[in-house]
Amino acid sequence: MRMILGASLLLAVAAAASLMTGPVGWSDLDHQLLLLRLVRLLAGILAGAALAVAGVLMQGLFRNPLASPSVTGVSAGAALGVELALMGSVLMPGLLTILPAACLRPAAGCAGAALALGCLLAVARRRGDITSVVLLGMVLSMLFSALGAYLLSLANDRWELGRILVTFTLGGIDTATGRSVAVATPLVAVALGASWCWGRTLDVALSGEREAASLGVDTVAMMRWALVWTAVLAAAAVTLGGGIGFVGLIVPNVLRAYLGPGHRQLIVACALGGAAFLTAADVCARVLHPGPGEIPLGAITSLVGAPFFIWFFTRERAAGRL
Amino acid sequence: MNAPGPVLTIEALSVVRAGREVLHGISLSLRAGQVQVLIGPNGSGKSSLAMAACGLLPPAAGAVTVGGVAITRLAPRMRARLVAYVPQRSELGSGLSVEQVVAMGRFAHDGAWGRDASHHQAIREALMQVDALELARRPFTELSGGETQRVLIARALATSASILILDEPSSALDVAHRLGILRLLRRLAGAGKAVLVALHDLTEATQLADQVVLLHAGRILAQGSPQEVISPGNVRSAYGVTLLPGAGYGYALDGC
Amino acid sequence: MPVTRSDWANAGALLGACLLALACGWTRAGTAGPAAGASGPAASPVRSADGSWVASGPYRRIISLDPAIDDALAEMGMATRLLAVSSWSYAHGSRARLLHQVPHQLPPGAALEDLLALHGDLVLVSGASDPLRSAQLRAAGMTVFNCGTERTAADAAQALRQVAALLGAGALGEELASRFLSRLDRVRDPRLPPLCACYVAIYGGELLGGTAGTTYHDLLIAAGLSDAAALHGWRDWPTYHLEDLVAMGPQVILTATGMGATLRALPGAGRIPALAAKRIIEVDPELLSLTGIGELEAAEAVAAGRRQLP
Repeated sequence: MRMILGASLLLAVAAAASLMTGPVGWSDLDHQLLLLRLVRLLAGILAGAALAVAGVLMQGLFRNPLASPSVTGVSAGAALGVELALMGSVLMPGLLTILPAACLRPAAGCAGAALALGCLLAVARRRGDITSVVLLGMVLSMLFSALGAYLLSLANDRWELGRILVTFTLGGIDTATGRSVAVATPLVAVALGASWCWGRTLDVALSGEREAASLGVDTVAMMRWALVWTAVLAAAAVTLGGGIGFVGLIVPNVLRAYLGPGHRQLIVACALGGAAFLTAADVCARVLHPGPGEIPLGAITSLVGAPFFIWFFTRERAAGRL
Repeated sequence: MNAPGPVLTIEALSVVRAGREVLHGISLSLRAGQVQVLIGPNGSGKSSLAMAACGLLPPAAGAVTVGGVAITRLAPRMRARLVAYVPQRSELGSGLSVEQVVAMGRFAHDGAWGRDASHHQAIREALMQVDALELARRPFTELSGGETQRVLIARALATSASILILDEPSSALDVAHRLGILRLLRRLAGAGKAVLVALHDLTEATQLADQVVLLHAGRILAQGSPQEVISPGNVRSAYGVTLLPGAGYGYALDGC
Repeated sequence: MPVTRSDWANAGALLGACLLALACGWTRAGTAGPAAGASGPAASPVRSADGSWVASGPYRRIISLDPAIDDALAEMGMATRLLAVSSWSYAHGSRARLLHQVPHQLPPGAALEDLLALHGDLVLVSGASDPLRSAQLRAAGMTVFNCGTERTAADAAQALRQVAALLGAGALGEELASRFLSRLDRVRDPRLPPLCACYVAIYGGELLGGTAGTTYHDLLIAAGLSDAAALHGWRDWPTYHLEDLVAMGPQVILTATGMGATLRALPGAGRIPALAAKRIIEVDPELLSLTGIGELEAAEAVAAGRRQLP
């Protein structure tokens, strides 16, 4: 309970800082600009919570603390889907008559994430095998990133479209609109709730597939729905924030060290903690940039996340857990 | 005294794993209050039979029925309430306490939102039955081999299943811990559980079992009382060794 | 595979979430217009390239994020109504001199808050701009008009007509567009024989082209040349191998200043008629990159280069 209260407090502080940070001074802020900052804050909260809980689901599904949407290629798959939707909506505006842009992107992101997860599950059969999951995830990330780079090359002379794709890849929640936040909210909220409901099942699944099945877990259904909800969360997060990595790795592992492996309380804490982490990173992205503009949010999370990944991997190896 | 009807029946069961038939034509039945022991050399199919009996391996032919219903037709939660499985080793990692591990056994009884009313009581009773109540708060991965096995059995008991299936619960344990496990199984059978256990040690099988099933290359070589099955001829056929009566270490199981 | 109660519950939750998301995301194209109380003729809507309708009116605080339309606005004498233009137009546009009176210049990817803080009454964006950014501006109450992607002279003329109509100067826009196209048509010297040509630039060892569907095609046609790449089925901005150029066999190469020597030094360049005969038209790269009505200057430079060819 204390950890959850602490995460809530951190989120409140980060949220206040986010609302007060921007090129226009606080005293010159009108209600329109304040609303803009609120939309940005909500986007950060939703994306951070979604990424962190997607990390919890993946770590439970693969029984592997290194599994996270960015390490396993799921975020890259979602990003490829959203990039295709981005390009499609600019180059073929007729697409938007079928589905509005605010809905097209999360739908495409979901399809991309599900594709990546499907490949991962199909090939990494021995889900306790940590090395194969991480290696395969890296390969999938590289594959989807390469496809994304090909898309970028197609945007060659359309310099603004190219810039949009690069900005998206670097990550950031500054292009979030009220509508995109409104679309993401039910997806993230329902997915968080569903993930929490699967929490006890994931606890039992820590024993391994065979033992879990003997204890009454429908392992096929668990895998299916954990995959679906992970894809929904990853897609929503990528749609709102682009290529933001490592949130799903850092936040669950830090909180698990204090809370233990129980999934239900971990999911609640990670939703709050992930939201706080990403909101704080967004504030840093705006504040630390010299002059006008901001550092890409994905760069901030990677600067924190990559050293964490190395430290964590080394520590787990030394403890014989990997 | 009339023996109760079989609670678990296996009829002409065949199982294929990784394209290879590991069990063929297996038929046996298990009754409440009975300890039935599976013996056989390595690779004879003991573990496969134990898993198939729990419904963890699908039959290629034949059927496993519990209370007259094919086990493969039961929903996973219902199956877990009827048949409990204790693996040889657990894949559980660190971070869980003994109580949390045993609580997993109540999963089949919990609702989607809340826990079953008898949740805590069942966990407590299960730990008491295996004399592990004092271990409740200890981290699971810090237990000794014998303690680990007792906790895994407690988890199986927490399911309140009437059928217990164990896969070599006493292997890799010292003699004192092995005796303790076997004594516990005898006690559970005495309390009305149906126990199917795979063992390596023939002496333990002789002293523990009401019925013995000798497996060889996926088939039943012999089936019956310990005295009938563990004979020099059967042992030579199955293991390729000669059984010398009275040779080696013998030890008694108190209270069996 | 049996469907369990859990499957129904999860599927129902997923469907519900998707329906709610769809309901939140569905938009109806409305008509945006000038600020209430603005004087002027009754507003008639003009269709934006992204499908939305924008009422025409006396917009006086225009923020232009489309460099291609800035020259047109300056040419129409509407630079005084511009509040902000892109820094590129300010420095490099064909009417940069006229745009120096514009109070604000915006860097690429200017922050949304900075745009909103200008309190403009109209934002012009290009067809390749981020639809989400446009949606953000609209959500904040700004009137946003998408000028479309100005890839060719015809696109530029159309964008000019539409923006002029939007600003209540439809007749002026029509006149300027017609004048632009007819001037472009008169750039070529009819006395010179038609030659087969190709636009090629070389960057980092890569041969980059521009053909049908781009301004480069317009420049070649305006200068009285035919586009060899278009005739061979290429489109847009291809990347060539030397063999592709050999197969096309252009008699003239159009390229940026300084690249002629690099192209002639390529192994196998002698197989390309234009390079063998040194019939290379080199034009200032800033001129070549002009779109919109700035294409006229670029076309005149290409035609001048054509006249000087051996």
